[in-house]
Amino acid sequence: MIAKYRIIVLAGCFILFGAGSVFSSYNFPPPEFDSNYIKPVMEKLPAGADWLSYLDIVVLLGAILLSAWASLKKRSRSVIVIISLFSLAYFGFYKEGCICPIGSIQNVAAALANPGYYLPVSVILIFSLPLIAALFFGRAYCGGACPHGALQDLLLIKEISLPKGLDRSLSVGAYLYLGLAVLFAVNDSGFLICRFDPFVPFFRHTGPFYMFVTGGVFILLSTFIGRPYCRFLCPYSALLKPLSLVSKNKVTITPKECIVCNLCAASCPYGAINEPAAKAPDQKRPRFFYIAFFIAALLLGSVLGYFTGGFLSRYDVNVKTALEIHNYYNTGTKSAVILSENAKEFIRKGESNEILFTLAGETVSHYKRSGIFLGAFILFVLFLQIVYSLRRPKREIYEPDSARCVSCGRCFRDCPIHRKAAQKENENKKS
Amino acid sequence: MKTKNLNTLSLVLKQTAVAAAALFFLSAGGLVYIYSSGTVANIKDSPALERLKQKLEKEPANEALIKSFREVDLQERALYFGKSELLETGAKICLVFLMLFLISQRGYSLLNGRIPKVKKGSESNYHFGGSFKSLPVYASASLTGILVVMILFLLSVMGSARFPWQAEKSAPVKGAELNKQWNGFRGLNGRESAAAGNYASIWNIKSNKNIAWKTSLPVKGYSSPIVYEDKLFITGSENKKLKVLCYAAATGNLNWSSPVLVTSKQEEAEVMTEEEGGAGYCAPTPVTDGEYVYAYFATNKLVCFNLAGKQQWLRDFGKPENIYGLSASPVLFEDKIIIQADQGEEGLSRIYAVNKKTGKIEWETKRPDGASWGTPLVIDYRGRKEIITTTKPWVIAYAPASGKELWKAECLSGEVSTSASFSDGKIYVMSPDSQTSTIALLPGGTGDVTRTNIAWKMQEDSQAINAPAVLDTKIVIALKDNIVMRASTDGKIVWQYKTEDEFWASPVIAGKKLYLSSRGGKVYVLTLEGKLVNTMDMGEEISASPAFQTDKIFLRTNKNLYCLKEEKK
Repeated sequence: MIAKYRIIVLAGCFILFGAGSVFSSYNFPPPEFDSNYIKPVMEKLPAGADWLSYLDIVVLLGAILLSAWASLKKRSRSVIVIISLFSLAYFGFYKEGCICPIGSIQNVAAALANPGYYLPVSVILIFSLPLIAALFFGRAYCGGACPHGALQDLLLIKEISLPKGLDRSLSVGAYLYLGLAVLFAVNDSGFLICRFDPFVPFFRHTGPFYMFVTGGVFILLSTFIGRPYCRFLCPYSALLKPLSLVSKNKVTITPKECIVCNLCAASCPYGAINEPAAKAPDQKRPRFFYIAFFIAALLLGSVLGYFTGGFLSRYDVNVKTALEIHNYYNTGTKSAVILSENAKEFIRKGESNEILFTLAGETVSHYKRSGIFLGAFILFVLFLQIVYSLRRPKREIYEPDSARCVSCGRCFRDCPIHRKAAQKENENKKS
Repeated sequence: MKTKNLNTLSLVLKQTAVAAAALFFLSAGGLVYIYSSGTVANIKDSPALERLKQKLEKEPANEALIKSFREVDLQERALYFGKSELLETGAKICLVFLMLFLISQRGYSLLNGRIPKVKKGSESNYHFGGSFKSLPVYASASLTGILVVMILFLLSVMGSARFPWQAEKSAPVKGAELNKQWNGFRGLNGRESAAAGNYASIWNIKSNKNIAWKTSLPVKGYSSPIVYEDKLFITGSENKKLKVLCYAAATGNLNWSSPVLVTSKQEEAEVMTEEEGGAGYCAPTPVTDGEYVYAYFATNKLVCFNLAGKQQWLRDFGKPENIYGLSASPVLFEDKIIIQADQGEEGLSRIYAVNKKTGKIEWETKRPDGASWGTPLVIDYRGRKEIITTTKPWVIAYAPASGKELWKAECLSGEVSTSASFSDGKIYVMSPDSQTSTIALLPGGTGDVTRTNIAWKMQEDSQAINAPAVLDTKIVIALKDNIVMRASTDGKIVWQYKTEDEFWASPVIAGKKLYLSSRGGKVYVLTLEGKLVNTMDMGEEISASPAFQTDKIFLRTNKNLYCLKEEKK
């Protein structure tokens, strides 16, 4: 009974924190029409000093290296949590989630497609550092340096484990998103990853309402599904996964021998621990079948991608405006047509419809051409997914799946061998 | 004692977490309710204000209405800013509760974390793991593959349809891509920029590098070549005999050369020739709609030929009275050919619209006295078509359907040989007095708009007699000894490139490069950033602007016609 009252009292205290500002009124002068009001000149904040962007890179590198040390050498979940909290505070709330390696994919893609696009060295470094680190330390960036990952990791309260098949199927989403984001970036149609980032509105305390809704959905999901964005949508994870597979140093669950106790697999909320398995009986696979399947997949992907590109071009601003303008001038009742701001501006400027249609036509062609690569890429990923699911390697102990393991350190904590070793170390230190 | 303290702390953390979580959901729900409870998206979209605004427009002096407008405006602002502030503060409160919940929940988990224990027999899975457990993964991967391919197929079907403007475009131009045609003076609709293409930026007339073909011209004239699909047209005179010539664009072979057949005695109209310092008989560039080619000459005659070279009709506008010779090119607009014939004699200057099928004058409008040499430009401004013309001292806009004067601005001086350009909602004209000025005008309006519609005026440091090339928000002006790029917004110089040359031909933007042909016989190719790519010496004067098609450049020099195309490596 006392506990209930205490909750109510606590809640009341918390309400008082914000009540004042919620009920305060917003005061401003009424509009004036008679006085010669002069619009104030819009003040632009000065750009941040160059060295500050390099400071961010140093901090990013430091966070990645510390995270790698904590997961590979120190083997401490607590240290990883501390680094995560720092990354969330610094890269998330202080730097407001920009620029991050996830979004930088689009800058790099745009620069590769358009030689006139300016790509600062700092952005190249932010894009490449976690990838290079993945070659040596696995997904150390995801473990402690990524604010998106840190937020989701800290939100996880009661995890439910997804069936392995569903987990693998959903993870295709990250590759699809990567392909779409690159397609839009190379065609100069905007940065999808930034526009639909679910966590940035929380970091900045502002943003369109739909972003708050998607962010809210991901936050809720994160409370019972381990890192849903990282596993099923993050386009950067789609790049990190293959690199982590070949990383030089890989996370190990136990410091010594595995006793096959199953505790680590139960502790991993990301389904990133492979169980021991007997090797499947030798079956002679027809290699030519795989090759033919692979070529057919690429060809089918290219054809489908070409026409899908044509469809996706409708989301480009030129094509969208051209469709609206065409509709506007070919509809009997112009007033009934609701125009976007871009279309209104186009009509206001009085530019030639024909040039707009020409530009839109060129954009559609670019989309179709780049759609070929998107389609081939998607079918390639699906092909690998199916082939990978057929693999049955022999495994005698529990091992982290290098591609999926985000170096969070939960499995160390639950491993009895690790605990024993840590206890022994503590005793040695005391003595 | 220590355990008791820990237990108390654990309990407090648990209760804090529960309270913070409850308040987080409560405040988040409140925010969603506030957001969706009728806040206007923007004050200017307020229907109440819009109604009052309309009333005010009708009764601007109604004091009571003004007072009421102010009150409603204040209320709407209070509502909008009040709710915005509330949402912003609410979001911060949500965040604070969320953080509080996270911290207390983490703390509680840390204090109450249970160490898992090894279960007996857990290793028994070992022998069966892979072979059976991978089956659902395989099935799921295959299903995902099928699902994604089906989605791609669906999007492909939706993406394979032609866009509405593409479907319409194919009909009138008989399969040709209209934007790749260079069908009149300064290209399609006088826009002076070619569709994207890989055009040669280097060639050499001595080594024949990138010269697809070259043919010597049997006629002379300052007019520019035009090209439509596989046909290239030029006009010229041979011993005062006016001709229209058609070449095969692919090979440079002459398809036909047709003289202009006249019936009137005015065929003997005397024109100041090129040698005498005039514009000659054939300064106007012809225009084609893909079915017929229309040529206008300094003798003040408009002629129509079919694509086989047979004359269809001739329209004589009377004896010309223009000191250097008429040089405005005909302009195609829907079913009309627009002719601007500005003459020195009093009361003779006219602008005509001629029916392109019959050659009959559909309308004619008197223009201010005084000769000028610029070509009209048809623009589409906010859905209203305007014919923009230049003469001293006016820029005048006419309605293409009726010839009615729409507006005029007094801003030109000197001998006006320059034509207007249009981009970014502005018209650019040049006043070629002793020192050329570049002027940006806002289209639209009625009557004399000199005071209201001049956006900016910039003085150049030398003279120009051509037309500026425009691309989005940039204007390129080819002056004597100087090439300048200005920003359309304020007219400020973006870059300039100094030459020791003179340009009669108008600059052209093609394939993200700038092509300028000089009287000195050189072709300058510059990047849009003002960097010189190459200079090619053609060895003879150039007065005509080049024509562009897909990957070919057609260049008319004083005596020759060239097709320039990058050779495949």
